[in-house]
Amino acid sequence: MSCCRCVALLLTMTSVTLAAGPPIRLTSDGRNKRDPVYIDSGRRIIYTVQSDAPRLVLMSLERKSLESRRFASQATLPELKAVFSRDGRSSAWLRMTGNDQLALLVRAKPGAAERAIKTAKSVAWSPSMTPDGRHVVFNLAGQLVVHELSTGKNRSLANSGGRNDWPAVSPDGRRVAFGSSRSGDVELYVVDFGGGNLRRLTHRKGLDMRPAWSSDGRRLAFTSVRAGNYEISVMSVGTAVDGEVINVSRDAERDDFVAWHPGGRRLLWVAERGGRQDLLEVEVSGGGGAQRD
Amino acid sequence: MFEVGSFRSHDCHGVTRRALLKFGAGLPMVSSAGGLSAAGAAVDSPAARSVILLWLWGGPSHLDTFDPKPEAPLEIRGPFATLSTRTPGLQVTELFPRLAARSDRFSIIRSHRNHTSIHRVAGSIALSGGKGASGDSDYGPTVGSIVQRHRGGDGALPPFVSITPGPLKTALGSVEGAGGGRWGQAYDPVSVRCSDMGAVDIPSLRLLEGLQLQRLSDRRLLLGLLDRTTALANDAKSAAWSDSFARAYRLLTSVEGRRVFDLSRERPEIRGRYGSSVFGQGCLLARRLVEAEVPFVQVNWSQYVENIYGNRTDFGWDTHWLNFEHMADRHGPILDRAVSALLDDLADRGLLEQTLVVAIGEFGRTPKISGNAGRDHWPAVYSSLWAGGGVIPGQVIGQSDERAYAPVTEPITPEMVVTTILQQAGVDTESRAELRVFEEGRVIEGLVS
Repeated sequence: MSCCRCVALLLTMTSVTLAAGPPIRLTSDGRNKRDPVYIDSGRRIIYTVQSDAPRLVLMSLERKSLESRRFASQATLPELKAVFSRDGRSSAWLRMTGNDQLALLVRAKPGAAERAIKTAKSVAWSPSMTPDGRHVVFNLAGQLVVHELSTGKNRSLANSGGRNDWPAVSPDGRRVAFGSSRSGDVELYVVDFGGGNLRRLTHRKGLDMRPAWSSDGRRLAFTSVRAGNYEISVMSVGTAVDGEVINVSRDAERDDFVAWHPGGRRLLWVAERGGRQDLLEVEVSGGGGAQRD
Repeated sequence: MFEVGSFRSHDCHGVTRRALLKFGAGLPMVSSAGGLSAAGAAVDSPAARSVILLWLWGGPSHLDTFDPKPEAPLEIRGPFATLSTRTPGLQVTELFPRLAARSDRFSIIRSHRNHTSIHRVAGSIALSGGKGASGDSDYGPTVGSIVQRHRGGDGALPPFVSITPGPLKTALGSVEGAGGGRWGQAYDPVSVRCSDMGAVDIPSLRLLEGLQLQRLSDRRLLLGLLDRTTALANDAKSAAWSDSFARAYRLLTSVEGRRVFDLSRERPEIRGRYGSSVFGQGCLLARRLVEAEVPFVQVNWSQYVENIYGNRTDFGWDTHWLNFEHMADRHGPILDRAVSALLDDLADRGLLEQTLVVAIGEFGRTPKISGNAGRDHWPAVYSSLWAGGGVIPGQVIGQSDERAYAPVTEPITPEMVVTTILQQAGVDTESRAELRVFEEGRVIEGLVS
């Protein structure tokens, strides 16, 4: 289904309050992409794209002009998965440094020296930064770890059977959504930043992964794999009762790596169309979705 | 003899252009000018006119691809759900929806066994069908090299093309058994690089700075190239390079040969089906090559086995770390899309019946998930996909135990894999005896008609 038809569904098939604009394709090179995030109040987008050398590079896209350039032009090793504090001053990202060596790097403020987070394993993954920039939550060998930048200390956040991955710190910094296979299937969970009040959010066969919070902390967008197709879904997250899961992409090709605009009215993800991967932005509001899944 | 337009030969550092080209023609697979076809030697209608070997370098996890164990404990089955397919009783990972929907076009083998868990050795054994004569060296020719020698070639295209990001390697070094082996470099494939966006590059011509495919039709440029090449051919150190160059140059100076390598001639819709990945576009190029009757095409997923390797990272299947992350992020969707597109495309063009497609790596991965949330090497059992070229589709051949640790049916060895490919490609028992390869090899029972 085309993006336009997808948006038509947004307008016609949902019973919740909704407004939607036409989808906008933000890139056109078609190369393999991942992990877009908004920074500077939505004026810029940082994402990872496949390159020739280094193999993965971080890109900065000016939302208004759609001009892209290397985010870290001096990087000579593959880098990916950049995340930021709310004010954009603190950041964390991954760098492939060698054979089975994937370093998690942090920069406390612009101009400060980058620093590698020391971990018990040589491969870190899926960083998420707290809004205040004081902590980074990440996946270390399938379990979630919280790193405090000021002390350099690590603590466990989620450690269970199966794998825990894709942590996403809520906008108020008090909760962490993540995916876990502890029940057998990969489902979304939410836990307090301190580690208490673990709660399962989804109960469906197939991968539910890569949650991203809306700026008001009331909704999660995430990748939902149904019958093998990667789709973008949205659900509301209450304190006790959660909302329905609503599919907002509805395309036969892959939709993945979703992010919310800080204003809460746009979703951004990597859309594969005709075998080419580009960034797609769709305006959503109100109930936030198109079709119940 | 090779001819380029109306060029005249003249002496240049003691070697004439014509002599150089004769030198190229002396190679087993290179002779006088001809048409587009690569197949030359008479072959009595083999079941597979062409073979496409999809080499999944690094060792894909059998549990997370074609042999899931949804009833196994969590620490074995992993996080992925399974999909039912069009083949009764066959389930595959949820990351393969396209393949699940066309399982009637292929069969799965679930009882492979290799002899070692070392990449370089296991890879050499898997590609050549046997152990080296002296440890990790002196391997026999790979299956592609054997097909190449058997078929020969009198056309513009070489009979054995390897579409690869580079020579197969691991962090520990190069792979010995990846070409002609003890038959020599003359039986190595012509290597071609294909980018994620479909740009094709032939490294053998890298020394010719500034060369662009389209400019080869410029005869003045050709003259210059030839002069420079002749000088290189006089250097003993460049002899090995010249072998490869002669073949590559030959195909590039053929108009039809150049067209085959130009993926921009494909409709965008077709290119898109394969996906924007090195492997996907490589599969599309493979289809174009078998369409031009190249007997053997090998598409290497990556140059290196490692999935994380600093600047050398090209996302091999060696997933000691991030097995599940890379399966969900890259490997699963890319493989599913590319192989499905290849099977559809071959079928749509009436080529699947005469093209054997095999997707396989050198071994599987440990059933029990490691402390690094990955899977390590596991040669005791692994899986593969077979289609076309006489394969009876819609089957599952062999079986692993309930936790995917070992075959419960007769193990299918690399020798059997290579013998089966050779048999289907027309290298029958008599031919194998003449070539002194796999004279007593066994074809995989029940796989082919």
